[in-house]
Amino acid sequence: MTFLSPGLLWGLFALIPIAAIFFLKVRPRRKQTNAFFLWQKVFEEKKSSALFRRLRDLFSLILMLLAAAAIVFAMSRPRVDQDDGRDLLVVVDISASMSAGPQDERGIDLALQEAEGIVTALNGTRRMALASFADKLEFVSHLSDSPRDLLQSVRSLETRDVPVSENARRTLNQYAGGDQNYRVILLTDGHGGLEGLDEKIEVMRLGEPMKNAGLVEADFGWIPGKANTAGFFYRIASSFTETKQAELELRNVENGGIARLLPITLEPGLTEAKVLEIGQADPGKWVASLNIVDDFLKDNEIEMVLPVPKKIPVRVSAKQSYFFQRCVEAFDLSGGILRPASEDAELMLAQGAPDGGEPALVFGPDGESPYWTSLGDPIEVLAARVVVEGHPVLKHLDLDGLPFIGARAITPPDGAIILAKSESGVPLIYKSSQEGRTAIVVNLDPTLGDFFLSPWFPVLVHDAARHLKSREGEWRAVYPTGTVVTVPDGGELTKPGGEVIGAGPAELDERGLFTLALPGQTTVFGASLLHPGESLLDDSGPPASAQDVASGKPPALWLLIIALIIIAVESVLYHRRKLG
Amino acid sequence: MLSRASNREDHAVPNRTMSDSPGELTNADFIRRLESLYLLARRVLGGTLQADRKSKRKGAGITFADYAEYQLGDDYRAIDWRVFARFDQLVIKLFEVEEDTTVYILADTSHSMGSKFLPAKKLVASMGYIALNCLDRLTVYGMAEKLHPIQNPTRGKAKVLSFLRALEAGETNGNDTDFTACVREFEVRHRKKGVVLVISDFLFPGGFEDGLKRLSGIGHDVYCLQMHSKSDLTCDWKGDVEIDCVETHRKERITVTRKEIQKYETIMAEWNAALKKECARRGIGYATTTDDIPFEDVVQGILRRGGLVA
Repeated sequence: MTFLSPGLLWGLFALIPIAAIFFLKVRPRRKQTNAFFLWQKVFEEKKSSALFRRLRDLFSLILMLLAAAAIVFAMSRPRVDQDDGRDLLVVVDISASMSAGPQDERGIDLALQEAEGIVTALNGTRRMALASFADKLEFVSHLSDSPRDLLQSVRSLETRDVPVSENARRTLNQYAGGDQNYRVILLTDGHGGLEGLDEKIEVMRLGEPMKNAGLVEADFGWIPGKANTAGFFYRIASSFTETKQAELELRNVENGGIARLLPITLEPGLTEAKVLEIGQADPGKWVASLNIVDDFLKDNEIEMVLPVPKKIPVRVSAKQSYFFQRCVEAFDLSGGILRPASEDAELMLAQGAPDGGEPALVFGPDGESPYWTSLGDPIEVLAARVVVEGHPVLKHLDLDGLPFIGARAITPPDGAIILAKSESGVPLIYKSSQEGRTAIVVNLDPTLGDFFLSPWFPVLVHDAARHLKSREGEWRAVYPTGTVVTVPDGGELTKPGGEVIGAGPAELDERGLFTLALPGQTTVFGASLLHPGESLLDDSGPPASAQDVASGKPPALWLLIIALIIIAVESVLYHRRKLG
Repeated sequence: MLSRASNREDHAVPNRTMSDSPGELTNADFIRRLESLYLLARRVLGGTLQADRKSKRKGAGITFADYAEYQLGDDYRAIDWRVFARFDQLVIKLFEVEEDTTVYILADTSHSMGSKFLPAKKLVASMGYIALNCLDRLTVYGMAEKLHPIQNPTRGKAKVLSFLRALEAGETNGNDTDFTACVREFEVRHRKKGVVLVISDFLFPGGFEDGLKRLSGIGHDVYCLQMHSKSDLTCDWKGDVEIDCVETHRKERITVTRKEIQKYETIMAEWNAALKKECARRGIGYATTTDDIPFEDVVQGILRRGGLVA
């Protein structure tokens, strides 16, 4: 223990006059009586307390000296050397799992207690910064030695419905890296996304393992090939140490009906992903609930939206239209996104030059078209190369399996986006927009090389159709919280809490239903805590590594409290001495 | 010391003397107040001559008191023949004793009377004044560890001033109050029956029962006048005090709380009740007063109750 103001310890000499004054003051007043023998009867009853009375004076003296000594020590500002006294960056994990547990014993409650203890222990020579940590690292208070401000900041922290993000972890590592003259202390329950923390980050683990089960993966959508049948994809994580029985309930919020109530057996850990088929499913808002008594409720229920099925009417314009027609009909019959159409077509499958104004998927370019400026002789394609990695049209294709037979030397118009080209640089697949129309040109002859029998034919048709009709950006039924989506230009995203976000990136940081308003179209989708790390509360995660850190009320305060208590006790004794 | 002969003895405790109030008992004003009381006494007692005082003792006199069955040895002159004639039964008439009465005053002069010594002496003075003016024989003693004569047996109005001077010179004395020893000594000194007036706070460590028993057993008409100061009856101390006995100077430390106060006051009340009960049991007259009540009021109260008769 050291003293910040050791000079004040000279005040201990004040104990001497205090003792002297005390001895003078405690002498009882002398009272004469002519009924002493009557008083003796009172004395006899007081014999048992006579020893206490004599000790009481000594006790009072000791108390007074202790009180004075405690005040002197408090004024000298003692400090317990629990650590090196460097400044602190206290990071509080506010991810969703920190709200698990009974009230007042949640991880966030324990973290705030710890943080308040650290703030309370600040003695004027140390500063502290406070940051929250979940989907991002956010400073709540910058370096300060003001306990009042820091406590206010600590008490403003609340958990969020998002998991710890990679971005937040990376930012935290940056703050901890290097030769920093401060300590970084992470107050966390240790669950979810804490792998790869910098070793300089001192992890203070809070709470105990919890018994929890929750939905960690989910999606809801129409099953292709099965009319009016929706599929609920789910996966459950359990941190119970034993097998548990639970129920999975799926209900339609619109009509209130329970579509499925499924008894399930939960093994510890992650269960196998399953798909639950719902026949005659109605589009709209749905809720999936895992009915089980556990320590964390947020992962037991998810809200989602089953979209209204909307098919793309497709017209075929080809010399050999049979396979194109069969392809579209196959999608239609199997519940896919395409249906044959003639007059109201919104998409065209063309062979050669397209003859309409619809967006078109053009195979075997031939003749004149605004989608190419010149056509040459057929070429031999030895190897096709992807130019735009991950493009929606290509991401499900294996170009090595596509026989670009019948490809011709072709010159796309200016502005065309080359998606794939041959080893010689001839565009094989490209996208071009001309005069307000868009087409994807596939430079091969579909009638050759059994292309129609290739599995990549329907894949290419499907993905190109989705892309041309901007359907690849369709919203899922439910997203994991923390997901960043892009709000299209002119659109507005309304959060479950009512906050409205404009065009651009938007984080789904709340659980519930989000509403995306686009011109002429409104889409609703859900967001839920779908993160195994936030649900598996099994004490996994990084071990505790925090060194000792001064916490709790400073010794001076305790000394003052002790002095006050002593003075209160002494005042009682004084009152008894003087007033009986 | 109370007696003029022995009050030169040494004492560890400073005595309270009348020098604090010179001439208190002999000034003209005080004597006038005594005279007023005497006049009141005359009306109450009915005369100023010998045998004016009422007595409960029966014997030869002129005032009929009661009948009694004739016993062998009784004076046959006292037989009431009329009764015999009517009822054929020998009874004798009894008359109130008419004799030269001696008044004994035993005044507590121990240090315990210190705070109320002057009022006590005024009471003694008034009672003695009345007795002397009634031509009774007066003897006054001070009581402490033993008896100390203040006024040797005397009689007559002419002795009033010397009596008052002797009383005025009296001081508190002694280291303790032994009532029984004083009564024994009194018993030895005075065989003649009379009226015994004990003026004291009756806070005798050795008790008052034996002394009262002896006094009443001798045949005296005993009257107890208990005088307290208010501080005797109640306690206003609080907290730690060192209690000092005014007589023995024994000391004891105690923390006085409400509980101790209640206990003390209960004990004091029980003590006084015991005195009253003892007096009633033995046919002893009893009155109590406090030092803040003027002595005239006390004497008037006694006289209005019929004088010093139980």
